[in-house]
Amino acid sequence: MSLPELSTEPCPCGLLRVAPLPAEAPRVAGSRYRSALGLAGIALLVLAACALWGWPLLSFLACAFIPGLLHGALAPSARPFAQALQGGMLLALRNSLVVALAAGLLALPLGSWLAWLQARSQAAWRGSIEPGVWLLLVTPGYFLASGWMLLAAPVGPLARWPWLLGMAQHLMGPLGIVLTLTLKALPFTFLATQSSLRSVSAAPDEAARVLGLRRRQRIAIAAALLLPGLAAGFAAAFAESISDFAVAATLGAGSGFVMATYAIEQAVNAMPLNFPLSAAVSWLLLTLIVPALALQAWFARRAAGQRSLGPRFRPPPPHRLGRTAAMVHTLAAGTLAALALGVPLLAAGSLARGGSTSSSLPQMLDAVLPAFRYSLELAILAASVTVMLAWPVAAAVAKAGRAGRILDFALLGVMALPGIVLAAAYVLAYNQSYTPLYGGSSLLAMAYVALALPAATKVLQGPVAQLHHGFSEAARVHGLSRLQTLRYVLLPLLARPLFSAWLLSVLHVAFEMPASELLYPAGHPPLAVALLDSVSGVQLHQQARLQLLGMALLLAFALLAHAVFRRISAESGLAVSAAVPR
Amino acid sequence: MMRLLYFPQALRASMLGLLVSCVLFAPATAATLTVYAAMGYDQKLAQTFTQSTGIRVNLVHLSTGPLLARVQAEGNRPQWDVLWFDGNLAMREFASHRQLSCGWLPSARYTAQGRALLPADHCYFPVGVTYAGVMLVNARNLPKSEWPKRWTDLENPALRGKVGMNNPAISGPTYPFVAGMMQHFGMQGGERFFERLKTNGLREFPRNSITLRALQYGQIDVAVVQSSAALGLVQRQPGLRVVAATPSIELPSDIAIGAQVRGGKLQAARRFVQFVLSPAGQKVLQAGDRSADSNYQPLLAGIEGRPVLAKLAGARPLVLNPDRWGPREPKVVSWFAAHVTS
Repeated sequence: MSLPELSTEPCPCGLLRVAPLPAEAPRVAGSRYRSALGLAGIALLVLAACALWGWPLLSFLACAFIPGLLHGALAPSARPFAQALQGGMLLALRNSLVVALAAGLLALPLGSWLAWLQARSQAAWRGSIEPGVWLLLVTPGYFLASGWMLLAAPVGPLARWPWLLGMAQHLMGPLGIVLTLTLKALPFTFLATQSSLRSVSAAPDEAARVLGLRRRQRIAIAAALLLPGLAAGFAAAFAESISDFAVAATLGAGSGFVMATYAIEQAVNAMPLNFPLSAAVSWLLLTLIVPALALQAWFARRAAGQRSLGPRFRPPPPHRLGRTAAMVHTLAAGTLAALALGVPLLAAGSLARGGSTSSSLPQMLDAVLPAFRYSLELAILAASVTVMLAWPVAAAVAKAGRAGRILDFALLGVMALPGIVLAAAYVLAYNQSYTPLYGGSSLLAMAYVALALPAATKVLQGPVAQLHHGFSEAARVHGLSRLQTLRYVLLPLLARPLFSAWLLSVLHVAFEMPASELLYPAGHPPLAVALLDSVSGVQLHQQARLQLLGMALLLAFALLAHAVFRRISAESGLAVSAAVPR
Repeated sequence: MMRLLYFPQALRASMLGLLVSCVLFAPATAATLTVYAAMGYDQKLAQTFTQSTGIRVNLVHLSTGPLLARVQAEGNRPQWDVLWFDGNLAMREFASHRQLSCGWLPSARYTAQGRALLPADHCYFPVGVTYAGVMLVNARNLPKSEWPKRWTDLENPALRGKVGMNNPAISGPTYPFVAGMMQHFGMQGGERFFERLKTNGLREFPRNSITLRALQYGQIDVAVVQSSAALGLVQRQPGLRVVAATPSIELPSDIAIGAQVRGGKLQAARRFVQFVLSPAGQKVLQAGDRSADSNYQPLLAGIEGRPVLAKLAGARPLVLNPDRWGPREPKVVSWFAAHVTS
């Protein structure tokens, strides 16, 4: 899988080289029809936003202020917030804040470093950075956390070396949580920085050199140009970490280090149910990400007008690494790769071989395959809808102005929203006589779209923002209708990022756990629920085998989808094939 | 706004996709039985039932806490026909809210213990019994002199930070344990007992499996968990000892039919309950989840429990009155959350 690659090679017509145009470009209906269609589209988009987030979340979050809302009692009360700000809940919020800050701050330099190596260096192995980062991005956090737990198991691969096992068992707590979240957040900082690096032209540095500025001043200029990307990366990493549930429910719950998302899940799963308390904690959790969002918004405002990818774009020359520097970078990247994917996989592999063989592969497949098939069907449907919605949303966010900023802000807010909160809100909103969706797969698919849309939008945001408005204007000058511009100019340019966003959404959704648990229809357990059911927490060998099986299924689907996409794009000339400027 | 006009097709397609999904994945309304269960053998039982009767079963299997939460969240529009989990206190609460179908009695030959657990209003039916809390001791890490034998031994400073139990708000079987301690020691005595445990570094985990994993990993040396889960681990991991201290709080697993179930579905639900309480059903139950829930004491005449139950010999059971302790659950759980969890 590769990130969006845009060609800047000018073609005779002044546009980028894109898919071949039809010999004769027929014109479509008049502007009135197009305006009506556009307004209908916007109305549908607003309707979708209301159905996916607005109505369920507002009614759920309102419980924090009106605890008796569900029972028709409208008396406001601050009691849920008072409960949320004491004892275990306050501790959980503090834990989440500290851990997310640490993960964001650690992921930022690591992701930026990898992005720089990939985009600006001449390291021989830089081509493997991007697939590696994508592999990390699509690997469910549950698998990473579970891998660390298996490494620290008394019957695990380190059992022969007690001192090493003792060290590994320190991972069963805040240290392991920060490490796992850092690795999960790293792709967000990588992608954001990579996008910035790709869009920064060589011109400012050349101008600085012409003006005789010192090296330190030139670095400051380069850093200033990258700051919006760095801020966006940090905000995304922070939001991703603070809203994480998988790590909180595995390493966190197993070590007694309670985090806010897990505390919300506890309140939603408690007897008696405490929706007001979970709503209050959700408000506080969302409040925690406001500073990060504000930081990003401030830098984004400063960066307005820096869009530079277009016909006049000139990439900076690649940086040649010295021999020692190349060795240091190689060693560091190898260590990071081993930590991120190698060690958890090896730990699972080691444990999968041992233990009783009561469950053979066919038996395991029998248990997991129906769930995998069901999850995949839902995931493909949900991801397709997600991408279709994410594109116009990304275009709206990319537009300069207050609306774009508010939308961007809202998206990150939704990104920080734990899946369990959304699921609880859906149960309340869609189990009414006038909205009888609860209990069916459609509601689960809706929840998947709502959860996947922010990340998909983030993936598309960069490529969509980098599209110079000159492309569309030139297409219109050459007589293409809007639909033709979409089909023959924009779609080829965005085919790869659209595919990337789609695949990311499929894989994200296929292993989604908290919302699946609360919303899955009877008789159709999704994959995450089936995997969880297949093992109790103490059957470590079985857990390892199932984990590897899940990873293998995931990888096989990703490779198959990628191969199909390449074939289709090659045959139809859909995707632009030229390389990105480096 | 004009820029957005590029995307009407994508929007129309997405809406069409949503519409198609609504049609394709609409809630199942066929006459299949929807069973909400939190038992480790429920999947196998459902399969066997379908094979025997031809009645299809849609199963929602979750652990007890999330299952109870889902039932509560569904409120007045329940999606389930049959409900099955450990703990008659929560069942009593659902019965008192008129959520269960009452009055019908399956033709099962209950033992005296079973008849004692059968509610007079016949709103739910006991299937088997475990103990809500036993102590599972890691004998390799803990000197024999420090092995706890009574519940109050958990206050021993030598066990500081080495004792773990489940959170009663999340783990369904744990509230009966807490309630049992409060009945045994008296309300205030029970509260003081748990406060002393907290002072002695009691560690809390969400549910049986995670508490047991903490024991496996050496994070704790004594786990207070449901007897069926403890017996399951003892069979797989050497060096563990089960201690059934006095009193051992009885925890019946109960099955019930929803009050909203009518007509043919009601007949199917009754056949399901009847099957669970038949010798054929009990056989599936005892083989379906030997690592945990199969380790229960049967309540039907002529049905013997699994041999591993011998490890609990000598336990002195305490039976909780569901009418008394069911309604107290919110108050006790809230107290526990405020004084022990935090």
